[in-house]
This record gives sequence, structure tokens and C-alpha cells, in this order.
Amino acid sequence: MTSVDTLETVTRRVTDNIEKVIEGKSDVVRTSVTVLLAEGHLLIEDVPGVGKTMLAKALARSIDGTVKRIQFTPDLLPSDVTGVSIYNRDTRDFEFRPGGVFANVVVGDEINRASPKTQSALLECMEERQVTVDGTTYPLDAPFMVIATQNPIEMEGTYPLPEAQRDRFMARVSMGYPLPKSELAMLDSHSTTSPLDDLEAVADAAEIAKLVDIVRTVHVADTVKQYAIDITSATRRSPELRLGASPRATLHLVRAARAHAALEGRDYVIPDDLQALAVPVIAHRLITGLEAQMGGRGAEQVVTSIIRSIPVPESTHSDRYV
Amino acid sequence: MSRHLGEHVRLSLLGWLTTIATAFCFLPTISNQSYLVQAAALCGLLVAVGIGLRALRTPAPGVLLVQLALLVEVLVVAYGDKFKYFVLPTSATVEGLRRDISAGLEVAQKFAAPTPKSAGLTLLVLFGIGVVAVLVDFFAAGVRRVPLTGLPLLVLYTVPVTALPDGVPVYGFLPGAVAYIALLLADERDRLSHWGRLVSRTPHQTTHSTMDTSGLVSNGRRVAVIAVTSAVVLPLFIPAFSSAWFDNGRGVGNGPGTGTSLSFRDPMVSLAQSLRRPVKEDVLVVTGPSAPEYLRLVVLDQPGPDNWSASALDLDNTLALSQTLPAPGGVGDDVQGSISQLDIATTDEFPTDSSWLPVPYALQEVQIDGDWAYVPRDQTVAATSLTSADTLEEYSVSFSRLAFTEEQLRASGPAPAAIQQEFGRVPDDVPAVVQNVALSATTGAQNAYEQAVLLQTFFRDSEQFSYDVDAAYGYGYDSMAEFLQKRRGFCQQFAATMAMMARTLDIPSRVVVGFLKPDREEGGSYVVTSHDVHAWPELYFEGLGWVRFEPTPRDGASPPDYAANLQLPTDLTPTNSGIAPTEDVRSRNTDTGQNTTSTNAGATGGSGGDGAAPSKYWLVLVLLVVVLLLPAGLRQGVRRNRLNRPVEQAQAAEAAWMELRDHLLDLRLPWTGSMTPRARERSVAGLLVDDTDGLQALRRLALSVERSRYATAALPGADPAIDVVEVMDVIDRRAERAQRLRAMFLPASLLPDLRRAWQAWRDGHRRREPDEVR
Repeated sequence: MTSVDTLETVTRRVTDNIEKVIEGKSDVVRTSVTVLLAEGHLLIEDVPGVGKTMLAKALARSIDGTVKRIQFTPDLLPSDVTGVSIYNRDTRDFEFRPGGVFANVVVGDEINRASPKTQSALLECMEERQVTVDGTTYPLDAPFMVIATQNPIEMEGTYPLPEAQRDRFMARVSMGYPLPKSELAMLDSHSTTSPLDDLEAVADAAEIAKLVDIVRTVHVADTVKQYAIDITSATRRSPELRLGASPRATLHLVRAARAHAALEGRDYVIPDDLQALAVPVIAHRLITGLEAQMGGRGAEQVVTSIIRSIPVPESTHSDRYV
Repeated sequence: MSRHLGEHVRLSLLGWLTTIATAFCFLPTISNQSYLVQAAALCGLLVAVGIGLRALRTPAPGVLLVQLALLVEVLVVAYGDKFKYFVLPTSATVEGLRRDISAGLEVAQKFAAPTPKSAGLTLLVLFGIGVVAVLVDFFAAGVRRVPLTGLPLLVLYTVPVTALPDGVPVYGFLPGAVAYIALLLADERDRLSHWGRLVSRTPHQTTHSTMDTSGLVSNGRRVAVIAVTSAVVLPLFIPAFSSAWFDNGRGVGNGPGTGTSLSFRDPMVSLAQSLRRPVKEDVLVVTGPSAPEYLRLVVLDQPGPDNWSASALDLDNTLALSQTLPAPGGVGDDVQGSISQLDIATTDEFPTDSSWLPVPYALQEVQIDGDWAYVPRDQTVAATSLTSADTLEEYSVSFSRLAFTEEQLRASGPAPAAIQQEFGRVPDDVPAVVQNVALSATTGAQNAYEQAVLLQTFFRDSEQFSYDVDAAYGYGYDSMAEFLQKRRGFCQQFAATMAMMARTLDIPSRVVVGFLKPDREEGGSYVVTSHDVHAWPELYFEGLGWVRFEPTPRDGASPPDYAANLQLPTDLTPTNSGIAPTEDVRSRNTDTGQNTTSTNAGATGGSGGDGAAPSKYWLVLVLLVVVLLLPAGLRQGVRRNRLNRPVEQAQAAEAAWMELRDHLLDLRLPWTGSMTPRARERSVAGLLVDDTDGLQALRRLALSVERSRYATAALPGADPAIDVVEVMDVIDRRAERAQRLRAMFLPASLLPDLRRAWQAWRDGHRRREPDEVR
């Protein structure tokens, strides 16, 4: 069994497990797992009640690692996230009490309800995978993934996430309302007990760490890397966008594409991977210009048309055949 | 819009350039070469008007009509006179032009290329080029059907092709061909820049592209080399079409000869027609103190491609008739001659377009009005203008009646090398039987004279040969063998065959066409009729010059005195057994007979290159088929190159993918935009519908391509060449028959391939240039 096959087996177990709880949203589930394997963080954005938290919890529970949930509220303090040093009378010393981020999977619920100060406390943790309190740096566990949910910024009592923080999330997905059939099934399964309670872990943290290593070995051809650059740089030139994708976006796109390829059982990335991931990975980092807003085009549509306009990379072999 | 307009202008100008480049093909046909400058100016004006009208959004047919009207008006103003208000043609103008044009047509018909200066002819040529320029402009810029411009250009090209016996030289062909290809390329480039190659050819992409285009370059060169080779080299290996192509030896022909020469209505053909006419017409009335001699018209001394033909008339080597004419070449001092005089009057039946004057041999003086000149080489009198015979009524000649004796002829030594070389050549395709029969017929002859007389006797033997004016033979030297087998014919066959036999015996010879010695006397004059037209051989004897023999066993054609009787030892008299044609010859003759018995106008004695062998039609057919099959052949070549070349799998996959692309394009199925192999697979899969094997092959092919492009290792166990063939087969099966045929014979992918090859070549060129500068 090749390493990619192992990966496929394990991830199928995980996705199947999540889909016991989240019905009819296999693409969202798949993107979530992709982000997990690509060592990224996931932002789930949608209106209340469509299962954002459920997805975050299901993903967290499927992995037999430490899971913590932080409910972001306006009065949440940064130390609640990172941890705090408390004086211990017995030892007569300050003792570090870890905050909510010290876990393999951190579910940040309604992240845009906390104040910007608290939101930015997450910044260092997400990017550097460590916490510094009172001059002491504490590394976080591996794997480490933040799954944040947020309501659309138009909702009352929300603070929009700053660009810098949005850029740190590898991908943003929207749940969308379930299909009538799925909603009916949900009524049956959720009516008495929460199905989340029956969910068991199907992979442990060590196993996931191994899968992450496998993903890192997935081959990306130079032409495909160039294709990724072409896509992100096109967002920077687009007249419809006020802010284009950062180089970090390019990095995230290629990393996610590796995981996407591995999930499909391939040990190489193809342009189709980038195309499939461009919207979830890039769109949330962009700020649309007035022109696009007037035309009713969101960042997602702009990215889609950019993908259509960029030619896919062709042969690198000498073209001796006309 | 402005860009669109720019393309039209570019295509218009390129079309103009192509027309003028194609007009180069007239260079070898007209001596007035200023036509090219005039054509360039005229077409430039027409194209400029076209551009202007299109800028004003005039519909294409409107532009065409205006251009045509302008063409006519410009030519009328330039070549006509007697205008009303300076530009309006009057009936006098039209009449003048009509005269000019008919004069031009006559010049074109009667003179071999290059034709002398003629305003009417230049006018016709300019009109032709102008019409083609307008049509090219219409197709290229008006309706954007650039490939169709090839049709008018081809028509233009066929004119000199038919006029030149040796075909158009390379410098007449290449400019037009190159310009046409350039026009096609320009159009294709414009077209593609409209239809979405933008996507893959953004400057951004090009600068980052590391694609090696050397393959495209070499492929482009290959295609170009094939095309140019077929066009330029192939004709070297197939016989050129002679001017006789289109009249097949009947009636009017451009006649014998090449180079600067007058060419005339074919004497041999006229001969056969004249003899076969049921009514005997009086042609000449000859008056003189004594009986007239044979009157000679024209000498056929060149064994042409098919049969005897006249040498080119070199006007520089003629003598004016106002002087005393020199004695015929080769006549020694000891030949006795008596001076005679004849007054010859022509009747209404004498052809007014005759290029030759009937005169006796060994002329000394000719008194005649009009444009005539003496040809010392042939001892004939030729017309030096087209209208010489128009006004011909009567003329008088004085000539020396040469009396050759048998002794003189017997004593004659071998002909000088120069004569032998000029009049002794035997073409390779003369059947061996001609020489064999000549040898056996002259067994026992001691010298050239005896050989000649024996040949004459051989033909005059009434038990062997019969005179039959309706005998019809095909063209070419095979007809001589046929004649020797059938042994029926008239003066054409007798004269031509005996002259050729003499040559095989190393006696210089030629055929003369003229009139028999008239025997009908009316009121002191001899009347020469249309049935007196005749042909006979002349053999060269050193010291005596050209000596007439008479092999034809017809009334009024008795052998000359010096060759009437020959005494040979009886045991040396040739026998029939030795002369009988061989079995081989007989069967060959039968074949020829079947081919040619229906050719009534055929003349064995054959004329100056005017007989076209039927096999030439096959050549045209073959050529046509080759041209029609050329795109299919090139396409097959590209396919073989892609699929059969042993390469590593990555390249093979890419090649197979391109083959699939081109196959779909050929079938006029879509292959648009830039897609990943998987996306392309999904779009192509729709064409395969439920064919599982085909779908699997397509899957493998797409995967092979994908892996060749993006993965580190190729797909194990896959053979893209086999897969693509399977996929194409399935697609073919589902395509309609017409679709498949069109794909095969008019592959749409060929032009984009050429364009890509060209672009790759140019890119490669540009990339090298900065290096060189550095």
C-alpha cells in the first residue's frame, strides 16, 4: 500500500465520520479535511443555525486528539485564548495556565463577536504555532488547526475580521442551507439526541501528523507552480479588486492543492486541484472594488472569471509535433 | 473597429501584392514587360479604391462592381482614343479598341512566346490581371474567404502555362506561390487572434514559457519543403504540356518552334485536310515558258517530341527578296542548272493567313510586294508579318532548274559533320523497326544514293504499299511502325517515314511540304489545286545539296529522273522476307491502332509538335489527383510523424493529444479554449457517448497526458498512440460520412499547424537575434 493510498483510506474514514453528522455537504467536508491535511486553518462563514459549529465539532471529534472550544464573545479577553500566568501560593511561583488554543483542534465559535484585541491574540498562535506569555514561549501541539466560525459581517454585534487575520485562514467555506432531503433526515437524527454525542474518533493525532508528512511529498510541477502564481497575480491586476491575493495566498493555494491531490489518490498536483480550491482559498482575502460591487459581483465570481481567463499550463516537453 | 479595419487594409494590400507576384508568370510570354509596372499601378488603384469604399462601409458586392467599372474605364481611357469630354468613350473608341483587341488576340494566337509588342495584347493582359486583382480583393478583404483567392490566381497562372511549351520558369511561379502562402498565413493569424488564442498567447505567457519550439520549426520547414519540392521539382520529371495541348493537333495551333519566331498554321495538318476535301479547289495559277517544278512551302527538319516539325524561324537569318538570292547550301559548281522563270498568281482559295510562299527550289530572284523574306537555311520564303498573305495576288520567281545525275549522286561523299549533326538526329523514341526495315530494304546498297533509291523503291512498290488519303494514324513515332505494318497511307506517312529511315542510315534528311508539279494546263497556264498539296523527303548529298525523293505512290508523283532506275546485282535485290515486320512490332502496332483509329484528324506525318499524345490527359489527371490529395497526404504525414516515432512516453502522450486535437478540428468538432486534460476529457467524452472501450482509452490518454505534464513518472503500461487511435476510431464511427471525407481531404488542422510552425520558426528566429546582437 503506497503512502497516498494510506492517506486516502484514513481520510475517507474521517470524512465518512463527519458526514454522519453533516448531511449533504460533502464538498464542504472535503475542503475541511483538505485544510486539515495542508496544516491550514479553516474559516466557516454562514448565517446562524446551518451547522457551522457542528461541522467544526465533528471534525475535531473525529480526530482522537485534544479539542478545545472557545466561544468568542465581546467580553472575551486575549488571555482567555492564549493562557495566563497565575501566582501559586504553594510553590510561591507564577504558574502558566494554558488558554483555549492549547489543543490539536481549536474551535473558535463566532470569532467575529469578540473584540479585535482578542481576535488578534489568535494571530500569533495561528501563524507561528506558539504562544508567548510573560516572555515565555510555549509551543502548541501538532497537528494544530483552528476552525473558526463566523456570521456574515452584516449581522448585528459583529466585528469584521481584519485583513491580516483573514489572510491567515487557509480557506473559507460556507455551509449553505441544507437540501430539503437532508433537512428531513436531520429532523430524524437530531430530534432526540445530538448525533455528535455518538461520534467517535476515527484517527489519532499521530496518524494525522503522518498524513501531513505524506501530503508534503506530493509533487508540484514547475508549470503548475507558475499557474498558481498566474492566478494570484491576476487578482492583483484585476480592476474589479481593491486588494488582491497575498504571496501567502499563493503558498496556501499550492499547499491546499497538494492535500487535494493526495485526497484524490494522486502524488502530483494538477491544475484542476488549483481550480477547485481557488475560490475557497483566495476569495476571502480579497476586497472587491466599487465596480464589482455595483455589478453585484462578489470576490467568488471575480476569482471564477480569473480562473477561466488564465490558460492552463501545457506540455513542458519539446514540442516536436506541431 | 479600427483593428478590424486595419486587418482589411492589410489583407487588401497583401492581395494586391499576391496578384502582382502572380502576374510575374507573364514575364516569359510577352516581350513588352512594362505590363508589370502598369499592372501594379492599375491594381494598386483598384485596391486603394476598394480600401476606401470599405472604410465607408460599402457592402462587398458594391465594392466589387465599382472596382470592375473603374478597371474598364481606366483601361479604356489609357488605351482608347476619340473620347467625348476626355473620358467618355464614343463608338469610335469602342471600334478602335475592338480592332486593337482582335489584333492582340491574333498576335497571341500566331506568335509563339514571347509575343511581340502589341497594344491590344497588353490591354488584354492588363484586363485579366485587373479582374483577378479585383476578385482577390473581393475574396480576401471583402468577404474574408482568403483561400478562395487561389482560384482567380490559378486562372491567371494557367494562361502562361498553356502558352509556354516548356511551362512557366521558376521565377514566374515562385513569387506568386510565396505571396499566396503569405496571404493565407496573414489571414489565419488574424482569424486566430479573433477567436481566442489570446488566452494562450498573452505576452505574459510567452515570456515565461520555456517551451522548446524547435520541433514546430522543423515541422514547418518540412511541410514547406514538401510543398515547394512538389511544385518546382516535380514538373522536371514529367513532360511539359506543349502548346498543342488544347487543340490536339487540329486546326489552329501555335505551331512549331520556340524562341523568337513566327509560328504558323500547321502545314501538315492543312495538308491532310486539303487532300481529304471532296472538292478540288484551284489555288495557284502558274505561268511560265516551261513546265513548272514542285513548289515548296515549308521545311520540317526537326524530329520533334511527336513527329517532324519545322525549326524556329529566326528572323535575323533571313534575306530580303530585293536581291539576287544565293545558291542553295551544299550545291557544288559541277551541278548543272538552267534558269527558268515562273509567274504565279494566287486564287481566292489561297489561304490569306499563309505564312509561306509556294516557290520552287534553288530560287534566284523573287519579285513580290509585301512582307516576305528568304530563308536561306530552308530555301523557302516566309511571311514576316501576319498580314503578308492578305494582299498577295501574284509574284514571279526565277530559279535554277538543277539537273542532278546518277553519277554525281553515286560519287557524293559523306555529309559534313555540321549537316550530319543538324539534320541527322534520330530521336530515342523512334521504334527500332524503322531502322530494321530501312536496313533490310537497303540490303546490298553500296552507297548513300543506292540506299536512298532503294528506300524510295521500297515505298513505291505497289504490291507492298498502297496510297490511301484516309489512312489515319496516331501521333508519335510509334505511328511510323504502325504505318510500316499497315502499309497504307498518303504522302505524310511516306515522306516522314522515309526521311526518318534515311536518318537511321546516316543520311541527313528533312521533310518538305508544298505542291506537286501541276499537270493541268489551261490556256497556257498550269493550275495548282488543293489536291496537289504534297509532302516529300529531301536527302542531303555532299556536293549536290538537298535532293528530292518521291516515295509516295500517287498519281502525279513520279520519281525524279536521277532516282527512277537503279540497277543492282539480282542476288542483292532486297526480299520481302527481310522486311516483314517482327511479331513484336505487329503487336505494338495493333495496340497503337486501337488507340488511334478514331483520331480522324491524326496525321502520321505529323506536324510541329501539335500532336498531343492522349497519355498527357492522364498526366493532367494524375497531377490533379496529386494536388487534391496533397492536403490529405500532408495530414497523414503529420499523423505518422506523431504516432509512429519512437519516443519516450511523455512525448508520445503529448503527440497523441495533439493528434486528437487535430482530428477533432478536421472533423469540424470543437476543441476550444485552454483546458486541463481532465476537463478536455469530459468534453470529448460526450462524443463517445456509451462506448466503454473508447471512454476507457480516452481516460488512459488523458491520464497519460496529465502525468506527462505534471507528474514525475509516466502512466505505467499505457500506449498513448494506441489509445488515441481507438478514440479517433470511435469518433469516426459516430461521424457522418461527409464529415469524415471532408476531414480526410480538407483537413482543417493543416493550416493552423502551418501557422504554428511559422510562428515557432519566427519566435525561434527572434530569440536568436538578440543573442547575435550581443
